[in-house]
Amino acid sequence: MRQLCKGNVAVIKGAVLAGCRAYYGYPITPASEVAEAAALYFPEVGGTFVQAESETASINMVYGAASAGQRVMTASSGPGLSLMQEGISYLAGAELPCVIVDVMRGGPGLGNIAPEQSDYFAMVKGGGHGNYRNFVVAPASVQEMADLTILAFELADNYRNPAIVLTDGFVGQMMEPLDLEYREIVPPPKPWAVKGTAGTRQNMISSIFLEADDLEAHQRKMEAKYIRAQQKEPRCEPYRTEDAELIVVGYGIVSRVLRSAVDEARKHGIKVGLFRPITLWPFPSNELRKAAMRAEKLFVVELSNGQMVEDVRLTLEGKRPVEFYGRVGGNVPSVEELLAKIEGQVPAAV
Amino acid sequence: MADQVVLEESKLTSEKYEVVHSKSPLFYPEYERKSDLKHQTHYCPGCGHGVAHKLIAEALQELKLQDQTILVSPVGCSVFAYYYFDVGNVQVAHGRAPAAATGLKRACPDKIVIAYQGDGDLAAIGTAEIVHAANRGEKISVFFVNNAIYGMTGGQMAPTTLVGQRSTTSPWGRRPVNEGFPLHMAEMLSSLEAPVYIERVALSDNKNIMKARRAVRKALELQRDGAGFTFVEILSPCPTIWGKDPIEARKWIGERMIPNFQLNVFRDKKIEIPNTNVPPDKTVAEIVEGERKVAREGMVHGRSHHFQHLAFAVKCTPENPLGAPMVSSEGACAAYYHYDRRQNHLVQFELSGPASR
Repeated sequence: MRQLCKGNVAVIKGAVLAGCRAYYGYPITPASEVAEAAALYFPEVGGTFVQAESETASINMVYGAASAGQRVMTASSGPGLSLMQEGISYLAGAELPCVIVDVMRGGPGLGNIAPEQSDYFAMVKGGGHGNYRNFVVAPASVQEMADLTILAFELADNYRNPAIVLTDGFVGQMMEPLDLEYREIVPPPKPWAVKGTAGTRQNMISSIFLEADDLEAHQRKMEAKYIRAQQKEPRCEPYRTEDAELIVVGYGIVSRVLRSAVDEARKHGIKVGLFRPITLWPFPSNELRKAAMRAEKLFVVELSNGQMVEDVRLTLEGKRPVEFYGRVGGNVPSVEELLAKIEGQVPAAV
Repeated sequence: MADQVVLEESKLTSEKYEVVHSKSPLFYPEYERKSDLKHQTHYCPGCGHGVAHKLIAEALQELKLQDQTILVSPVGCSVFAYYYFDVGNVQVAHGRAPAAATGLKRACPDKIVIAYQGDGDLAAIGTAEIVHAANRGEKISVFFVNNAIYGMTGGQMAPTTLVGQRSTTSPWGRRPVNEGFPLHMAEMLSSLEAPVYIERVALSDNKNIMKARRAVRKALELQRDGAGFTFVEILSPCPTIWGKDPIEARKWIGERMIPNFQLNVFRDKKIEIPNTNVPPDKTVAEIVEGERKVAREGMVHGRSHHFQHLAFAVKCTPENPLGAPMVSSEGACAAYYHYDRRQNHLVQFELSGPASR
């Protein structure tokens, strides 16, 4: 069934479809519509919505609900995610599944409410203390806001780990057609959960391991999950990269502009393609390497001062030159701007 | 675990007598501790946690709630409560127990959720969480162990440290001019509308311990009956950090703490929270696929144009958009491109321009 929908609202429609019945969050622009849609829809299907007193409280309510085996989520933007980082570290250390949406805005500090992609480091590299990883999916359309939220719940449950839906103020606020059909989704059983029953009485949710050997063994167990995920879960969308000499790399709203710029450039005879990561962790390194080895140069565009570009460089290990272009502060480049940049990046051999 | 009867001999009179060692089945038979210490807790001799744990365990035992209980343990000396209580255990970040308990209780509404916290956990870093959980009337039981100091970390000042009381971070004694006054949580929470039971008790002597036992049991009974938010503040000895032996420490509670933290029932009433503004029941399909009437609106299907809307340029302008502006891929309200900002003058619309693609 097709409907016009706002990105932030599509997240909740996907969550409801995925069987999520608990939302604990705090308002923040440009993410508040996620909470507002949850406030409206969750109670209507027998779920829980609580507006918490802070993001710190929100993430800990999520911790409690996740401990009981519920599919649970929250949403915020950069400043709120910073407050949640302690909680995310605890969730990862206690091996609890949950979905956290970050609708990125201008930073650092209070910044502004316009779109940026400057929480990549904070969400993809860690952000909270200790050795852990977040699963990170990056929607580039309203449709993906719903579909990737459903995927985030699956990844979180399958790996017992937090999963982040990393989007930006643009995708969160925009309205596009959403095609979503009802289907039955049954979350997997969670025998490890603490539910106040005789059967779960022996269960414990904790991230503390006082003995060095115990903590090391626990971390190795988590590491094994992450290695498995890196083999099975990377997702990406290459676009016109088969014969490309220049590959542009971007995610989220930037990938939409890049896609149009690639089409325009192709009309001018430039052999350029787009590589769009869909999971930022695990990063689609194998696919990126494959695409890059066919080309001569990569050009990364982000709404940041250069965050994802580091992972692109790490992936390629110096085998191809990687250039970068970033806009910040809420400025989103136009198709014309990126077309001009692409023309300037074309390898000299052409 | 079966009672152990040990025959002992008095050192004074050489009389023989029986000592019955019994332990509530709410505690594990053996504790996860190093080497031979599996029968002992890690708490110091004379620590209030030992007594408080017993009161809670025996109440749960009497009320037959062991299989329905989830214990949330904090950060502080009692972080290891999960070594002892044979119930569902969830260990949480410093101060966040009431928030985690909220998530747990909303997920398992007919189970017993207990938040067990010390004075730093509840009254310092966790002040927001306890006040708001209490204010929402979360149907949990909070046991607040107040020993006026930070025990686990070596004796720093607590929000409940007394004026003039020395600590490692108030080396000349608590100075109100720098550190303010002790926080009285039971009183503070009793200013809220939702809590049903708030009492302060003390582990200073056997008479007060019996009152504490009754308060703990009452809080759990009220939760079992679905009454509302229950809170018991327990004044507790910390002999090691106070630098006293266990008997002196108990005396200190009576002589110094109780005059400052009055023992009282601050709230004990049945509260009927009216179930008003009830949300309608919808199916998942209705939520996911969108309400039919929205899809039928002509504007969304392109059967009419935005400029035909009665409010366009009259009530709905770029400065004051009505509702959510429809945002194009270039990031502006689609109607804006068709709106000439020259006063009262609407430019002829281009229906096939880039903005309408």
